[in-house]
Amino acid sequence: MNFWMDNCYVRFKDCLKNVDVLTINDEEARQLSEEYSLVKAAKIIQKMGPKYLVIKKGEHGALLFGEEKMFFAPALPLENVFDPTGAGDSFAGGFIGHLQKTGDISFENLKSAVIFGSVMASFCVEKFGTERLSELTDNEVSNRLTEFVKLSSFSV
Amino acid sequence: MSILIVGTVAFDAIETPFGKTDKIVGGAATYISLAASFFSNKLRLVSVVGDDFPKESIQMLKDHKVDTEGLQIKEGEKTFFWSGKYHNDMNSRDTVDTQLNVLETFDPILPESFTR
Repeated sequence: MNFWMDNCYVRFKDCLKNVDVLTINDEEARQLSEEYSLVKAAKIIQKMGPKYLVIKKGEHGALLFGEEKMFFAPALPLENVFDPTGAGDSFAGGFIGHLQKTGDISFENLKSAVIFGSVMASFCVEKFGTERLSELTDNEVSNRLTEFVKLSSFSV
Repeated sequence: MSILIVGTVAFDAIETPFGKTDKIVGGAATYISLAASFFSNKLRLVSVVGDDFPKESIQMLKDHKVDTEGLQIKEGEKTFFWSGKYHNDMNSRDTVDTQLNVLETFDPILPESFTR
C-alpha cells in the first residue's frame, strides 16, 4: 500500500471514502495518518472513510477498530517462521472468507474474522511461498483455531 | 454473495534468515484466494499472468475452488516478479528487484459470468 500512498495519493484517498473494512500494517497506518499512536491513527483513518480498520502488527498480532470499539487478536507464537511473505494477504483471505461464509458483519463476528485471519497467517509463514497453504487441511485449521482460543482465554 | 479478489498473481524470489528460493509462485491474490478457500467456495479471481506462469499453479487454484475465469494469460509476456530479502527480525524487508511485466498494461476486466 505504500506504493499507492507514495505514487497516487489523491486517487488513493478518494478510493478510501468507499471502503468498508481496511486492513493495513502498523507502518502503513502510521504513514497514512501521520500519527505514531495506533489508537490515534485508527481514529484518523476511520475519518477518511473505512467503517472498520484492521491494523496488522506482524508477529505481534492484529488490532480491530470500529463502532468506537477495539479488539486485539494475538499472533500464534511459532517455533519456526520460515517466510513471512504473504502472511498479511493470508490474513485478509481468512478474514473475508469467514465473513462471506457467515454472512454476518456485526462487530462480534468481525472479531472472529480477525482470529481466522490470524490462523491462516500462522500457517502461511511456516514454509516458503504458498506451499503450506496449498497442502493445508480443514482439520489443521480447526485444530489451530483451538490453539488460538487457548492462547488468549482466561478467567477473572 | 461471492468474494471478488483483484490483485497480483506473481513470481517471488525470497531470502530469509532460514533460506533462499528461486522463482516461486506468490502474489497477494494467490495468498488471499488460498486462505479464503478454507471458508468460502465462492471465490472469483481477477488478475493477469504471462505465459511463463505454470499451468499447475492455475490448476492448484482451481482445486481450491477458485474461479479463475478472470485470470488473463498474456501470450508472449512475462509474469510480475518481485524479489525481496528479510532482515533478521523478519518484520522488515528490502525489495531487491521488481519487474512489473504484465502488470504494466493490466486492465482488470470482470468476466460476464462474474456479474451475475
